[in-house]
Amino acid sequence: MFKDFTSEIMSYPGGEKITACMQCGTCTGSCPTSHAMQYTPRRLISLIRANQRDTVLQSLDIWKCASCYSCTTRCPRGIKFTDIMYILKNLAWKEQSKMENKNIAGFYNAFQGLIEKRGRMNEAELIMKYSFQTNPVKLLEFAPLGMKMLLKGRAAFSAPSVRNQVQLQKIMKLAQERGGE
Amino acid sequence: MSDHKIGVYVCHCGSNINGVVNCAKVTEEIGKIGEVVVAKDYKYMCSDPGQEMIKNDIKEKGLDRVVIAACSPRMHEPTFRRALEGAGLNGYLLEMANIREHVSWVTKDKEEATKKALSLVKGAVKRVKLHEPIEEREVPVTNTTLVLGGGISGIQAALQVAEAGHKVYLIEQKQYIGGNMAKFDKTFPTLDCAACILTPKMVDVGQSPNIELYTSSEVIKVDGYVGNFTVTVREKPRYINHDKCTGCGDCASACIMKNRIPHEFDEGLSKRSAAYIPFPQAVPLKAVIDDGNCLFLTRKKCTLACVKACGAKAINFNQHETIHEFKVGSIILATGFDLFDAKRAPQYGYGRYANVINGLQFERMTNASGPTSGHITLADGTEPKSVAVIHCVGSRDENYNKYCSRVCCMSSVKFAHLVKDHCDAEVYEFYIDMRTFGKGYEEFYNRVQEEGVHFVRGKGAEVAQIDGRLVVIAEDTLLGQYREIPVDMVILNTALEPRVDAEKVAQTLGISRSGDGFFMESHIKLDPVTTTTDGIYLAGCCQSPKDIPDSVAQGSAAAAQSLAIIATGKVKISPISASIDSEQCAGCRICIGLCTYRAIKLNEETLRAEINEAVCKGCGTCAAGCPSGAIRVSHFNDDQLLAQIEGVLA
Amino acid sequence: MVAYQYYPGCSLHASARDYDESVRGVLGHLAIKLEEVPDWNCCGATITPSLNQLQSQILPARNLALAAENRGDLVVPCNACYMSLKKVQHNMVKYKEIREGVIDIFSQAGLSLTGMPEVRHLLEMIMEDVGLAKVKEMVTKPLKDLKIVSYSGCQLVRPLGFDDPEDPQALDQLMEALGAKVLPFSQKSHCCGSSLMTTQPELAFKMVDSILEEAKKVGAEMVVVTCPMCQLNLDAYQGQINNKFNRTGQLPIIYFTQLMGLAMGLSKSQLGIQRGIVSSNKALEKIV
Repeated sequence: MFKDFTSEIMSYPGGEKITACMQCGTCTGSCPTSHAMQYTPRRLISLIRANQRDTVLQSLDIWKCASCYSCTTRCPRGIKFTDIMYILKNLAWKEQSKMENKNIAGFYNAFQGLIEKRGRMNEAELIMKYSFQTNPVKLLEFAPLGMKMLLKGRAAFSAPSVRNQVQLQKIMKLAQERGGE
Repeated sequence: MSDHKIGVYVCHCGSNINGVVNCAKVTEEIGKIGEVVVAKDYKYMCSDPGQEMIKNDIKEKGLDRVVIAACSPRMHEPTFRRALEGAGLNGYLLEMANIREHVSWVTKDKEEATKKALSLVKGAVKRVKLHEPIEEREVPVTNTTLVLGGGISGIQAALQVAEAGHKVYLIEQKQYIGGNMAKFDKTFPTLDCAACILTPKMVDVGQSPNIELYTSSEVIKVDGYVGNFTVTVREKPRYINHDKCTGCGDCASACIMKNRIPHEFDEGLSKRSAAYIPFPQAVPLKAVIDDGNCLFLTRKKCTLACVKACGAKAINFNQHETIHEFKVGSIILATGFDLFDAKRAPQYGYGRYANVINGLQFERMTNASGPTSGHITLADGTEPKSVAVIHCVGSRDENYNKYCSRVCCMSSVKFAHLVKDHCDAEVYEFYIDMRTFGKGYEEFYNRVQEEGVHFVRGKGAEVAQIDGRLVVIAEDTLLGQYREIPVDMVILNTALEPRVDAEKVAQTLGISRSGDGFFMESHIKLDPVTTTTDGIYLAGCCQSPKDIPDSVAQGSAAAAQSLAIIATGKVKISPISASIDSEQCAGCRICIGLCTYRAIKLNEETLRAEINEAVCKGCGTCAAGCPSGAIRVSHFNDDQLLAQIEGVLA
Repeated sequence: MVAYQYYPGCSLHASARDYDESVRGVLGHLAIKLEEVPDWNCCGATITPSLNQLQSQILPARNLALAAENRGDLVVPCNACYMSLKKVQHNMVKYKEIREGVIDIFSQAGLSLTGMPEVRHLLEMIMEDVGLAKVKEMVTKPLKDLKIVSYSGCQLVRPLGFDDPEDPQALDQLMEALGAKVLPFSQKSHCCGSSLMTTQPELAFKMVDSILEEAKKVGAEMVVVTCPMCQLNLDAYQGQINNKFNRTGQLPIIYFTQLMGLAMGLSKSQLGIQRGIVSSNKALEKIV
């Protein structure tokens, strides 16, 4: 369907300018998590352009983006790299077998599950769901902080929800069915 | 049926046109039109044999109109006009159909291209029948030149025109000439001292009998046209009588504002008085009084210590601005550049961290007559042990300027050498690509590499201060690693930008600017010195960022253009111009506002608009805008255009 | 009474109740009416866009559609919600396929996008509509001698924010108007790590640590924030981070609306100030 990985990325909103990259590394230098990456943002662009799709999508580096948009605002060539990270995560998520980090998969699953179902989020519930999906021992780790939040009145145990759940679920499902483009 | 005899010539332009357009077919089809007595296609119509073919046909077959289907008329219309004239036909009885830029270069569809080419040629045939012979006019020229801007390229241009024996008015906005080069210490790639090579030229300007120098001056109005400009210049008061001032500097020492005003010439690294000598080698070497900071001029309250200190009695607070008017044949614009303000990229900490400086500040620091007497020092007075140079700050960046500023790679390498030479600190160069393209440049880069400078391929992303130390954050792209490199000093090598008043100057002179904001040349490759306005030439960084060798070369080129006009003694004026039917003109003045060339004026007596045909470029904007249809453009009149449209649509 | 539509976002109903309380308290005091968007849903934050781009347009777009039924600009107190809503607006204008996809899906669920309200961060609205002059006029207890750093965070200013993306000014100016001493702070628009705090704490800990350490170094007594996510990461995790990096000293993390309220004479409890994990009592001693 696509000639190569570059044209695949370019077909999504935000991915258009990837061919303009001059490999200056401003993205990496602006990124607060690139120090922990095997493939820095600039290298990910190189890998995309070298058509190394599996290497990129299997890399955990794409899940290290904090969405701070520093790379995007500073890129001298107008590349929206934060958006490209989102595109890469979307593609990797669709090919879930490639997701090795259980923490990441568990958290994203828990969050998305709650939103698709009820349309609103409650951090306490999210943490519980996340812990059960990954490792229930985590609950113990979160417990001291959870207690503090509870004492300060900053934890809600009711399950918040939009009133028109049917509508919300329908539009989320329709969007899901369209393949997420 | 009219009784014209039209020759149509279809050029292949090698495969440029014929590779897409079926030239033979276009020729065959157009030959079927009754009045087309000759239709031929040929590989290169602009070549000598091509032109000979047209000339012979005109003579032998008695052609009275010629259509050439080829490239843009911008390229070869003059060529073919001369061919027509060589065969005794008026050059304006020619029409060109652009089947290259408008057809073959913009599509790959051969069939559609051939169709479009044919209709364009048909339009040209219809139009050419209505062409009228027009005679070109010549006007005598004034043999003087005005050079605007006293930096290195303006100086070069002025000296060259003056040496050829002609009068030059050199206008400089600042109180001294020398421009940015006067602030430099060493110049790449040979490391000669800037003052050593520039000062003699500055002195020559001051002493040349043919150069009238006006500092603290600006052009406020330009009237006229090539060969006959009238330029109005405003000279601001300096409050110093130049004939008396000896440049001794006693006023500066006496001024009570001494050491209180950031000195522009030192890029803010030193403080000066309100009365001061700009720098020791300044031309003219005369004191200046800064009217924005002088207590007497701003508040009328001062002990006037300067007046008492001046033995020559040269200070005169009663000076006023002077307006000068010069008649000149041509104008050379050499207004230079502005340095990108690094505060616009706050991530680099300029203005926030004391030891983050820009390139010009570093130049002043290394200059023996500069604020630190040539010592590279940190804000606390100590020598740095490590220095970073960040390239491309404000250049090659969509957020600021897309273009490459051309000089920064080399000046950065020069900075590295000077650091090594002065204090042997570690130097880190953060670059995207090394662009060392000039004569002797790559060799210089090589030499500095061997001096042990660290070249880090990656654009500096941020300058932070961690534990009291500056840290440059960048990706070392050759390592593929995020790096934080601690240094004592950071030099931001910032972009060269169009001057802040570029738009005002462009409007005053009636010239255009290109997308990057610099003044626009007539042709980026083949005519980089001429503007789109005849008789106004460009030199140096006002046209695009340039290093010293290129600025000097362009200064000389502009001088040659100016001298060529003087040598000819007259200039040809395009005969295509607009004219106003005063019977129909309602005096609404719409055309006056529309005319970019300021060729139209209202006759205050008749209250009708009048066009100065010598200034008019024949662009037609006024004709299109005239609500009463009173304006007619020769060679582009309604009948001709309608016939062309009819032909194209037929 | 000037009226705005209010999109609190999920946090302000739970972990950031103090923000919600102070927003309502201050705006009430300024005679500004907030009407909560009826039946709003989560904006998707940074999670939904990571998984499914179209869903990440759908979520904010539903809020815009609901808000479009009423009058008034849409005021958003959370940086992440603000950015999500602004970005979908931007995308709907820029990309035909997104616009048509959203409209088509909405039409199948009885939703219509009749127009889009202006999306504005609460800080933006206060700066532009209320104005510093009015704020100064309302101050009864200036925050004299309170040394703060203002931390705007990232998504308030990037990529579609209303202030300088590298060196934001609005929060500084507002705090100065309240009488606080604003210290120079290079971490103003650095990132707090957002949801990485849960999935990859080793990354987020380092990010928060740089912010807190710089704030301490310049001598701040408090960090002022505009986002519930920033507040949570800097406040609730501060103890763990201090332990991990062997840091001493605690810094209260306070919402700008809480300081506005204090300066305007509202009570601490009205502003939810007691809800901070790191107590701000000591820092606020000299004011209240």
